[in-house]
Amino acid sequence: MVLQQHQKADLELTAMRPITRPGEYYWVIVAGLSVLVFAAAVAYLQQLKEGLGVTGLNQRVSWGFYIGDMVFFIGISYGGAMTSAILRLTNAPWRAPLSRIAETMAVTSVLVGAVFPLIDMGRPERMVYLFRYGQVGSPVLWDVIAVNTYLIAGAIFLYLPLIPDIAVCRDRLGPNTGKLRYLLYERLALGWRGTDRQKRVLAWGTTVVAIVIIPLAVAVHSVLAFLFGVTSRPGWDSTIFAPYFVLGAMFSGVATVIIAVAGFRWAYHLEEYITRKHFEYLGYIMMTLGAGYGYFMFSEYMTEGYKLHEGARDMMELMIVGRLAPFMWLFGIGGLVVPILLVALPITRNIFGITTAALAVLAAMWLKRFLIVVPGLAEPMMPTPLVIYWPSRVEIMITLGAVAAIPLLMMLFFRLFPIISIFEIEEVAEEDAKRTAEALHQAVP
Amino acid sequence: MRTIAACLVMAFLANFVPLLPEPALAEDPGDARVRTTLEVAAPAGPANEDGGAMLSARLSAEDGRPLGGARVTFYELSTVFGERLMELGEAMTDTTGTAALVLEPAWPGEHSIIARFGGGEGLEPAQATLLLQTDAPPNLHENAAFGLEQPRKWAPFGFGLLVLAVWGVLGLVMARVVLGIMADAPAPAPGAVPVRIFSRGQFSASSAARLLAAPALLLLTALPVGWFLTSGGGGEPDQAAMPGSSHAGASTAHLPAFPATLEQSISAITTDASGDVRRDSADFPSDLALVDGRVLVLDSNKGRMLTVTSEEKFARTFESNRGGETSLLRAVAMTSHLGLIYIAAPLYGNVVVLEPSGRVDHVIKTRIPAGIRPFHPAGVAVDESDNIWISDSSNDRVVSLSPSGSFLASIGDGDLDTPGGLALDAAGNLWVVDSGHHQVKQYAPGGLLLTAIGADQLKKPEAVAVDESGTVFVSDAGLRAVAVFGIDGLFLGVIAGDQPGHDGEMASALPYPYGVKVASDRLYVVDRLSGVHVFRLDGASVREGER
Amino acid sequence: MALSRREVLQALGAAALFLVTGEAGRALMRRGGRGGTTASATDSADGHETTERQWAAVIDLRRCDGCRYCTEACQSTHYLPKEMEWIKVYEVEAENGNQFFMPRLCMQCENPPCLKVCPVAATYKNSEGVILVNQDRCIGCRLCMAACPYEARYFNFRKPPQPPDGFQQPMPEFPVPQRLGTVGKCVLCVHYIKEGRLPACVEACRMDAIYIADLNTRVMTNRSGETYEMSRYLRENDAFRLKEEMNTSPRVWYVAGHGQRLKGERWS
Repeated sequence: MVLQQHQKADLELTAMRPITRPGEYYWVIVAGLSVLVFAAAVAYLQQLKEGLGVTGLNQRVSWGFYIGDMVFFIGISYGGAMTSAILRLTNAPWRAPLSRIAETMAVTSVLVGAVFPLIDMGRPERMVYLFRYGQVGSPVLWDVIAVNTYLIAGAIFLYLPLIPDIAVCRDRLGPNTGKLRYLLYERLALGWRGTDRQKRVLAWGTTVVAIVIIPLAVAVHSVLAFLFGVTSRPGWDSTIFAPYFVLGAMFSGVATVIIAVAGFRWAYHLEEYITRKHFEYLGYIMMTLGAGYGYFMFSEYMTEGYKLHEGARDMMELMIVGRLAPFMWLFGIGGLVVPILLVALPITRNIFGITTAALAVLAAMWLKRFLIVVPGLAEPMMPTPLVIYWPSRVEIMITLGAVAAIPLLMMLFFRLFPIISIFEIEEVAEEDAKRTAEALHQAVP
Repeated sequence: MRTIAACLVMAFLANFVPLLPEPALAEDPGDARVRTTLEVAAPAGPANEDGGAMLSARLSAEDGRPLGGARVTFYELSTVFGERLMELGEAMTDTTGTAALVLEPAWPGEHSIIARFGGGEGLEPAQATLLLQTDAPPNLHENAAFGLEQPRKWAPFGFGLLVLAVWGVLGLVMARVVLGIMADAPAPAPGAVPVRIFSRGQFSASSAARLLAAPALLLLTALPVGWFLTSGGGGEPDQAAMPGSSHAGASTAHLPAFPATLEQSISAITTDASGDVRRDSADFPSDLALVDGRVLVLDSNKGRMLTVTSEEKFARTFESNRGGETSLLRAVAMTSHLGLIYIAAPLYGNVVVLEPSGRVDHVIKTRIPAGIRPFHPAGVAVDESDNIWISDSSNDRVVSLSPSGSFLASIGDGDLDTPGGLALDAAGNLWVVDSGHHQVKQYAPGGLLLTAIGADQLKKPEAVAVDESGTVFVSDAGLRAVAVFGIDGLFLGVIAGDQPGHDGEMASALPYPYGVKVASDRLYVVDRLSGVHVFRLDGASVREGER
Repeated sequence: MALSRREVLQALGAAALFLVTGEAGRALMRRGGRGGTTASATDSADGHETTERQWAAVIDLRRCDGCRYCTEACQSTHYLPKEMEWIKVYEVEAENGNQFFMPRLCMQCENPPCLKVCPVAATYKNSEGVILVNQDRCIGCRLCMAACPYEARYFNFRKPPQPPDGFQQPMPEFPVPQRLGTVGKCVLCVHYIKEGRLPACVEACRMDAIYIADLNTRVMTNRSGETYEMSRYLRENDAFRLKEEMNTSPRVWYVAGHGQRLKGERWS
């Protein structure tokens, strides 16, 4: 069915409501999130001034929250690429109302994640040396290249389907929105007016970028894993790390998409477009990925735990029965078993249940990143005792600031651009109509 | 007479006998000993395909009969770490008195080979040398291969191409889409009124700029506010390991100061007009001695003695050859006695006696019963009866030697840990720095422990000096100061020590004090890093008053 | 002058000896050749310096008594805070229950994992095989610390102690003072060796357990001048290297003697 005129107007109204009438709590939430980001900035200034000694890091556990955060935030951005690109390529029509939120989340979280290596650096002012003296043999350089490429590809992937929507903004909001803003819309819309040729070239470009972005995201999470995998530390020295990280990124990413979708659905009243069906589909994907992640964990612990080589033995004792066992079991039960059950059992398979499961997955996946980074360093390779790491106030504040920065950036983005992809919904509806017409044509010769 | 004869016989065989320590004689050589002769040779032709050379040493008795079953040790002179004798290996002599060893030369050119027979069973020791010329190619060390050299070389190019391809595709997509859309863009139609579904007044209060302004402003204010908030605390530089300190985070600024005025400082490293380091600089001075108003400084790293000139510079007075028996390399202990300077040199354990002019008076070869390790003289003192006291830091004791170097007694066994500097007081008691226990101990000449002081104050004591009135001065590299103790062991304060410098950092005039000597009301301190410092002891009158 | 007759005669003998063999003796002294310390070799007229040194170290665990003087000497030489133990003495229990001490300095690996992972090539191997850190370039990412299987690298989390004036020209060979926010490690005191001195830890080892060595001339020596032909010494004493299976080819050898396991297994 083609969208009727009133449906279309309704859709445009809904999609652009955050731009026009963000609601009375909008600024309260923006201010609240900004305070957290501000606090993180203050904490970072202190770290900049006094050195990394203000963190809880020490000579052995020289990576902590920051590296865990980097992996986590870049990881969840894969959820955006996943729901949008994969579902686009597999022609899943239900993705259309979600894709904008997912893509925005992908770009903002990778932006936030990419800041963490800088925060973690002892000498951030020498960042430019990465380009001047870059040594291709280093996983850090791979990360720099891969994350930057991914960031740009993600931005393109966000921008392309946005062009027709920007044109809608341009046409509907008109020059009265303010000179600067209108200019922004006008320029970014590139003179879109929905001709066939424009639609064709846009569809081609979006498909190509969607094809490129999937292996690119795999590459990003693989080289992030190599950051650990190239060392010989027990717990890190693993061949399964790259796919492990990719799957973990997808798992946490889908959970983030569910949370973002739920949040914006509630805040901007998108109930008409985003329904329980969407949550169920996303929940099924999350459940499958969770099962896959559990399988990878099993595979790792099975092979390592069977042989129990000295390093792996100490590591597994630490993780399964030792001091970090409570965290590990918390992850296993709270992050894998419970969410899967919440989605699998029909009684909890509703929007609330699935969102709860996603929240549990997200928290547990963050914990898992911590459990990957810290024990690998805490477990000694020389005859010394285990070294404890506990984050300092500065690290916690910066992490909280980063968590706040993602919804903040998304809210600011949706102040400028439609939250639902008007174009994609129309496109899907048109395709739908075409298919119906063809079916009718075949049925009634 | 026999010594001379032996020297002359061996002269053409052992042309650098002075390099070798005289074999330690456990007992007085009796007349029953048979002199032996050792001849070392390298038959022509390689010993193996690697270009090794066969060394053979023939040991024979005075009467020419070969001595079998004797152990011959081969050495080679190496100058990589100063001149040192590198042990190549040992071989037993066969019935023809010949011991053989394959030398695999590490470099082409000359090799100085030394063969030594240590004596025993009524036989005197003997040694012989050989200058050997080898032209084998240098047998240089090769780094271990890592593996997969070729793939590792090409892999980056492959991945680089991949990255370029991705960037190319992204660029192509952007170009095609942007151009494609713009090609169909409508011509600008002035006055075209867009369809408007929203009322006009809605946007009067917001614009893109204002939208972003709030958080941006917030972040911008964060910078100065954050700086202000954090400028107060933290950021303490870690003082834990200033040189020699063994206690964490300790500054010595709180210790009471002993009244003293820095009168003169002779900087260790001086430069000439062109900015080059003068050859007469003190490289790493360790100790000093006062003779007839002259200040003589031991420069341990170059193995030489310097004099402080009237221009407050150093002048070379004695330059020891680096490997010889008078070598002062790494010597850290020196004292003066009856107008002569005694330096305990660690290389062969000799005590080198010099005149203030730099002339060698004589060399005392110490004869110490073989300990578990070679001994390291860290302090030296000479008493009234010309006996020499040397603190042996390796074996945790102080030994006394006769003027000819034979062993008399040892004291402090069991209660010293790494003894350092030594000093004798007016009563003839011996003061020993016990650096392992952070104390200074006083012994009666007979070896009775009288007092131990400084346990609460000292951190890394190095050397000690005692003036006529019995005041004890201890240089301490941990305190970066000289600690002063009264006659009853009462801690009187420190000289120098940490002072807040111009940039707020703690700094001491004596970053690494070592040798210390006192004469009337002047205290002379050698600092290993900064040079020689002379303090006038203003407290002398006070101490007189106390007494 | 209380000189015994024997000593006078000895002095005379030495003088005679010098006269007879003076020329040969002088020739010997002059012959810096490959063997000369760097300073004297460049001074000597005929110094035919053909190859570089390749520094290494040998540690005799039989002798180490765990006094940690080496650590102290290293820290005071390089002005390091307490937590940075470029040479660290581990207390290890061997399989047979024997307690022993194991000093660990930088292994100066020939295939150093730390060097490969550095994104800006701040860590490099100099021509003498010593792994150095250019602290003017290090960005402080600390991946090298994670990569080092010997945990021999340290990060300046806090402002490092400042030495007195006159030390203000840090260079990779003598990184004093350390730089905040960069990684530091044992430099095998190459600056000292070049000056004809021994590394600070070797000089401080009162048990003479640490040897410094040159792999090209195969000479190893310790503080009190015990000098051996290295390959022979390593063979005869069953020397081993730590974690040999990691293909790092470390340049520090250990001589066991307390019932340690011999090959490079992990210590627990």
